[in-house]
Amino acid sequence: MLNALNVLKMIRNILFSLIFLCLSFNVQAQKKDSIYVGLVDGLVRDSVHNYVLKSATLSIYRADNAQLLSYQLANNFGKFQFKELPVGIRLRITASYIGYQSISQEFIIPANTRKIILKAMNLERAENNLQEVNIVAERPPVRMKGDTLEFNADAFKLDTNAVVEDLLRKLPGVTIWSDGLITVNGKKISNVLVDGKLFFGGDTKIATQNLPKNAVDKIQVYTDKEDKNVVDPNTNLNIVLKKDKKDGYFGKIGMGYGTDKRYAFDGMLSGFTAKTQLSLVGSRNNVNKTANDVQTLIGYSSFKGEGIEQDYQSDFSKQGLNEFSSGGATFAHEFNKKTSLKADYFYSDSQNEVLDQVQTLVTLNENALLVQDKVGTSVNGNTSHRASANYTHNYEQANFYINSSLQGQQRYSQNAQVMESLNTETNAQSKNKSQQDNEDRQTGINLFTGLAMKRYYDNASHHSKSINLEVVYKYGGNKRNYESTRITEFTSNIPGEGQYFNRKYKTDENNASHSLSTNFSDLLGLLNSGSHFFTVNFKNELTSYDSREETWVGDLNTGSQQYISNANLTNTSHYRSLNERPGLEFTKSITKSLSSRYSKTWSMNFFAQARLFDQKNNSDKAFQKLDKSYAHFIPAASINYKNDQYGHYYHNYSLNYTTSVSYPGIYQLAPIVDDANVYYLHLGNPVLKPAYTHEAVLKFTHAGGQTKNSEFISVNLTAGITKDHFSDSSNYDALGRNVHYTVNVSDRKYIGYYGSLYEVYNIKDHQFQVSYTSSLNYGRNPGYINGSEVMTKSLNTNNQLSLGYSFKGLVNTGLSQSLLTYNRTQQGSSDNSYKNLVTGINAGLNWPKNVFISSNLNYNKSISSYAEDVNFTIWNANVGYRFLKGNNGEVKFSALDLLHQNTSIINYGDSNSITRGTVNVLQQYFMVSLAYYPRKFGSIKK
Amino acid sequence: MNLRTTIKTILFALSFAASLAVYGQDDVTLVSTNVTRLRVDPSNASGGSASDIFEGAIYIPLETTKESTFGQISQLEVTDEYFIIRDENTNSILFFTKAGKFHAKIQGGNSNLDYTKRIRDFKVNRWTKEIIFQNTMMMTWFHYDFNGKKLKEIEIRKGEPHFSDFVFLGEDKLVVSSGYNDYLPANAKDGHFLDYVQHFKDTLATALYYSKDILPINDDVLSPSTGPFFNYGIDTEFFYIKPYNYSIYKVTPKGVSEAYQFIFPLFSALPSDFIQNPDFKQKRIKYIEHNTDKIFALSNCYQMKDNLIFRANTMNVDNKEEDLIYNLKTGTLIAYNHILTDESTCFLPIGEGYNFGNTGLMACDGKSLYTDFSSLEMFQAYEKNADKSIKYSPGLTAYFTKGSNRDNPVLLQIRLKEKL
Repeated sequence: MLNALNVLKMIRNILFSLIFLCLSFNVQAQKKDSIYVGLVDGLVRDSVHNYVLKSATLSIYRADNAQLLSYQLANNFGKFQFKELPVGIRLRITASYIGYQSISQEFIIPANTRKIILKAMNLERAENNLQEVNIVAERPPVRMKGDTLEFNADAFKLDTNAVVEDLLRKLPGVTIWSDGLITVNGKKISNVLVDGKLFFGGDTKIATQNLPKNAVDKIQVYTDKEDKNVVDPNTNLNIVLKKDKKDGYFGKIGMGYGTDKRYAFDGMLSGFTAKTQLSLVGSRNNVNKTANDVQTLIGYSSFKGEGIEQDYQSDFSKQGLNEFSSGGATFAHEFNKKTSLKADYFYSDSQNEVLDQVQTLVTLNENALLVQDKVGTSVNGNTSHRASANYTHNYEQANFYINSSLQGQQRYSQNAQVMESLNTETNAQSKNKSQQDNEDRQTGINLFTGLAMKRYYDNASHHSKSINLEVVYKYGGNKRNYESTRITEFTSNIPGEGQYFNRKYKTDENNASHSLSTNFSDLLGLLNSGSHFFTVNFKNELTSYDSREETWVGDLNTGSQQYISNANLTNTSHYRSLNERPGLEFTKSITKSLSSRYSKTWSMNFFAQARLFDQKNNSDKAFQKLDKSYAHFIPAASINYKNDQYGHYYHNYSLNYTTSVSYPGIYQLAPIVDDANVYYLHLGNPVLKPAYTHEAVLKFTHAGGQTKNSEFISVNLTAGITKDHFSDSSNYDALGRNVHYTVNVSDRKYIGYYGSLYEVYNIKDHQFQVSYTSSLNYGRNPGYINGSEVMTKSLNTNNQLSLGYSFKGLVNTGLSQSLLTYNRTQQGSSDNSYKNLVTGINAGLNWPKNVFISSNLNYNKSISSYAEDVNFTIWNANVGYRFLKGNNGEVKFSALDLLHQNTSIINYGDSNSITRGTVNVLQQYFMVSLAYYPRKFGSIKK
Repeated sequence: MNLRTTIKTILFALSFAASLAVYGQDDVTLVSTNVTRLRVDPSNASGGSASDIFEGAIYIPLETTKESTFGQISQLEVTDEYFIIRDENTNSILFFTKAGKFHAKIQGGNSNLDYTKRIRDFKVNRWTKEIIFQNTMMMTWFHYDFNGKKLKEIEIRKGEPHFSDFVFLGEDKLVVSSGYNDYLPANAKDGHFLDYVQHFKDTLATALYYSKDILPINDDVLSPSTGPFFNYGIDTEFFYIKPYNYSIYKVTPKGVSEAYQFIFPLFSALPSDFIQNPDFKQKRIKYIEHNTDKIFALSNCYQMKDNLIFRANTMNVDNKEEDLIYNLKTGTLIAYNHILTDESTCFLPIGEGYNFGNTGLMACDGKSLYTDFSSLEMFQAYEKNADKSIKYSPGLTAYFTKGSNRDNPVLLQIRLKEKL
């Protein structure tokens, strides 16, 4: 217990020196001119007790108008020094310290000497002697309160419309990164809290870009004492609102209209009180602006203050023309400190029209190539609803939760496709026209409840109590109703091969799964007899799955114009599976450390796990009846080495070995074969064996550098081998019709790496960021084509480099380049390869006041081994202006795809084919948008 | 003169006095009636510059070689010739000369792999010039000389008493602290804190009694990280402290006396019935955790002439007034962590080091106090000092030019001014 206290003290000392004392420098550069050349030296003391006051706050004001010129914290010797102060005019300095009465004195820096040494400022203790009460009429801009660094928001004069983010940019040592991350002197802020709580789900931007600076009382930065990681605990930033601003609302109503009937509407209204938060949000547009959840949607409607950035842009890479509507609500309520409830609802509707034209080259053998040209159109609609609720109750040494969600989805699609196929060897030609109408309805429910308790040391009784146990139960239920009509017309230059189908499909599917997972950690710890060589954990997961399916299939009788049941395809089936995974985990870790120098930890883990799998299928079709049981041993092991050289670098090496097994399902073993799939007929293979994979991953991480500039490097190497891998056996006939089934092949092998590098340099107000990621994957995939074994080797690489520069949030620029390559070789055929290269540049400027300009340009180059290069450039630009009192109004002009070149390229390859083509995409448009941001804080209680 | 005769002699002289006593099998009684009561308000302690308070301060870098590299000082004992250091990181005991030169080392087993090999506190026998210690198993006493040479291993046989907190008062005489004993025999009248023991087994006398009514209590005791015995340069004199008690007892071969009794202000003092009141039963540690300004124990108690040095332990991590220097003549109270480093200490750290929270002013040889700083802290300060023209001693100059922030910790030896 006491050691923990001392460790805490030690950590506090270290963190204090690392994070906070760096703040003893002059900040808030004011407009400088020739009189700003003065220097002031001084000392702050408690003269009664004869010691200096470290970290006391000194603030310098103009005596005539009380304008704050500069402030700083006294250093470890109680000393301070201000530079670049105006000479020859009357200034006032105020010294303050928690628990003491502030004092002020006036002075003038002589113009000739440009320097003044003030007499020691002697503070006296506040009379009531209560540390919490600070008897200061005028609070200092920054102060240390225990181990919390506190900024007084009122001391920072900003535009009346500024938001918290603008305030944070002004705080010494605080950096807001281009990706939204906030750091305080290099230390990453893990949570942004508002009055000690997460704000609308914890998305940092919702708090920092909406809450006005003027509603903020103070900003606190402190290390999270609740964090279990005592060596490197989280740092939190808490926004304390003014007493009369603890509630309020904010929102947005925006609309835009542009060329080509482009439009966009956004609406959001959020309200909060001390205990409750409620938000309603909606959006509709046809400019590829989409969101997958309600938090993202709320974030898009953030007010932002001075530094307006563009992060809600059209996605020009999205295929087709899209119309997107969404809406939702979030609700959070805290009953008391231990119990809370959160609920979300999200609705989305997307309508999408895609026109695509692709060419696929299928290698059949050394001489034969199948050239398939496909032109398709499709209209798709997808409407979904999702509601979830989350109840949490925290006990002192345990927590309990219930999460539940309901979802409903309705999808429809209409597709028409014409595919022409040519065999280059035989000259056989075929054509397939198909048309499909699909409608799919699904409803589902999920329930997730768990109890996690941990063993703890009870100080009162000096005994360990409770156990380390986590039990989670999950239920998932899903109901699906699927209807489809498919017309297929197949013709060929070979007589007698023509086929025609007009089929209707109706499927009802009901499935349910129950799963219970148990994690019982540190079994030997219960014995209470000192330490043990290993830690032993017991883990178990039991899942049962049950699915009933009824399918009715009918063919159109052209005479009666009625669909007549197709006995081969109409079916009722009942599938059940039971999956049991018990395991014992042995872990061992050894730490070698030398105080103030290094800490090295080796840890080893061996997980002996078994997998028992049983599947049963009952079906009208005798060949689909199935009852198979499998048992496999799927061990895993890992070795990890961590080397933390304090103040120098941190390295982590790990080697992980895992095994996994895939079982063939009914679709692979004994599917019902639908002969209407003319080009791709899938058959079953009842003798398929499970596929067993061994995989090894080697990881290396390096983090280093100083607190201000940091670097991060990580490299992962992965290699694996799959025995009895599920591969394809494809048989192409002369017309290119593919009859295929899954076969076991020996030894699929793969190897690859992923690496990333991230470096940041700060030079005064200039910040430079470099990031580089690189990956390579190589695979050997055996398969069968027309009865002969074929080995396909594929190589993918991806490299991305980006450089960023920003200055005080006023200017942001970036350069990026990415290169993606694919190369495939196959026995007896020519190599196929393609490359995609994207080079981009972007810049943003917030100047003059209330005006923001941003632009980005991407150059795309696509190279393929068998087709001509495709090059195109996308150039977007925006200019906006904020107006009205409170900047509540916004007008924006956007010009997108200015060069009218946007094209979407399809490029992909698999075992024996490569596909390339284009899809219709959103192209050039110009749009004028207007937005109004209703905002009020402190609206309820006065 | 052996302990038994000493006790008998003193007993004879003082057998009529009462109050605090060493009762023994021989029914001896030793007392002190002149306890000094001190009213001390730590929150009003002063600070000052190092040169105002220190007569002198010397930084002693401890030689760093492959053999002598260690982590941090968990225990420091100062003998006439050596600094003897126990390091938990490397599970070793190291001997350095007074100039900081590495002399010898006792290497324990790899305690990372086998915790039973961890070396516990060692005891210095200044009469035989040896140190003895046990490992976690507490089944054997290992005897070593000051050259790190093993002299003998003595197994503790079944039925023999186990001691852990004790000090040597003579070649073969110990005083053992047993703390509160929750498992007193049913027929026992009262418990006691101290035993005078000879030959590691024969109890000669007992002292510092407590009432059986308050038991059980041991599970509810929050102890400071050092103590309970503190030596201050006199081989046969130790300060001793009891849990939840504000007295410093003096233990000598002649007996135990209450030397000083502190009276703290209400807001920092434990309730006077903290031990007796059954309302606090099993809630004492929680109470201290929630009342972080309460002083729950004294520790690191030393006396050098008129200066009484002690730590008033609280659970308040921001408390800068825990380590105190009280001048018995003038009543001056100085908080060690308010002392400001200056030219006399080369602007190098003097307090609040990474290890200070654990060990504080960890040793006293009667002339000087000792604490330590990691080389990481020393070099950080050195780099900050770059803009000052500081004259470092030749030893420090060599350390800063040839060493690095990965070197062994540096000892700081402080001599206090007598008249504070």
